[in-house]
Amino acid sequence: MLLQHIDHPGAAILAVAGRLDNATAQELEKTALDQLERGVRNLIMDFSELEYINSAGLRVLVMCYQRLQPGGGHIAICGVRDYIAEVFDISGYNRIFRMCTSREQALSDLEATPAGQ
Amino acid sequence: MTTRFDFALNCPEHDHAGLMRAVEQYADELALSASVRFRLLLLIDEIVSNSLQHGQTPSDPANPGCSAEPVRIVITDHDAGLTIEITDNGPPFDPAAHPAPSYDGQTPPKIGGMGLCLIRKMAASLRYERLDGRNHVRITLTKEPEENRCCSST
Repeated sequence: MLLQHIDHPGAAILAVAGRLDNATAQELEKTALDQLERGVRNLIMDFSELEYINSAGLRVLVMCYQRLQPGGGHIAICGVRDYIAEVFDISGYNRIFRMCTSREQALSDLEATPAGQ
Repeated sequence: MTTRFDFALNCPEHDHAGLMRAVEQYADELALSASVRFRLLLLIDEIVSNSLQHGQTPSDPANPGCSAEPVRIVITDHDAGLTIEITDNGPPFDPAAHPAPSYDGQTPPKIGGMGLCLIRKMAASLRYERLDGRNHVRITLTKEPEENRCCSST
């Protein structure tokens, strides 16, 4: 897995390439939690280069959601390939994460959403 | 033409990544669609992870960290679909019967348990038997999968 972190005024962007699985989920978890500890309210997961995700990866996303949601923060997931989008559809998690086609759309979507909605 | 994949997972910490690479190579040889290839990888990954997490197989004194009796993974390609058979000698564990929390769209989602839910919804069929002290999980996967949802009421 290759993990890239980009700071943006509206959100912390984490771009994940390769595999998000039992061997790599911990690295994403640590980086994401570091951002939340810094007070970041919105996270964008850019999955446009993500090739594989399993339940260990989904677990990290849900954990971040649980930390952000009480304070009105959001997680947007952008750029997922069709076969990975199936996992979000099947799990029902496409209803708690904002599924966006691109990083730009995710930023625009989050900026247009008042806190807590 | 029917083809077969057979892998014995002896040393989980070292072999799990090797197993996944071997399944990827097999999927490439079969020229599976991206969706079916992903489902095949995910089903095997989740079942084997579960076996390794909950199973207490006897260790091999000659190879620390390895099991004397491996988790075995067999995939058979039947053209129209794939059959996945996974056996291990851990404690009895039926992935078809074990509670699997799912997100209902109303209550806050829970952490954990999604692996079992994905297994059940992505597999065309899932059968479990306990035979001769070993868990036997048999999964079929169609090459034209229908989508089921974890949050469905069924």
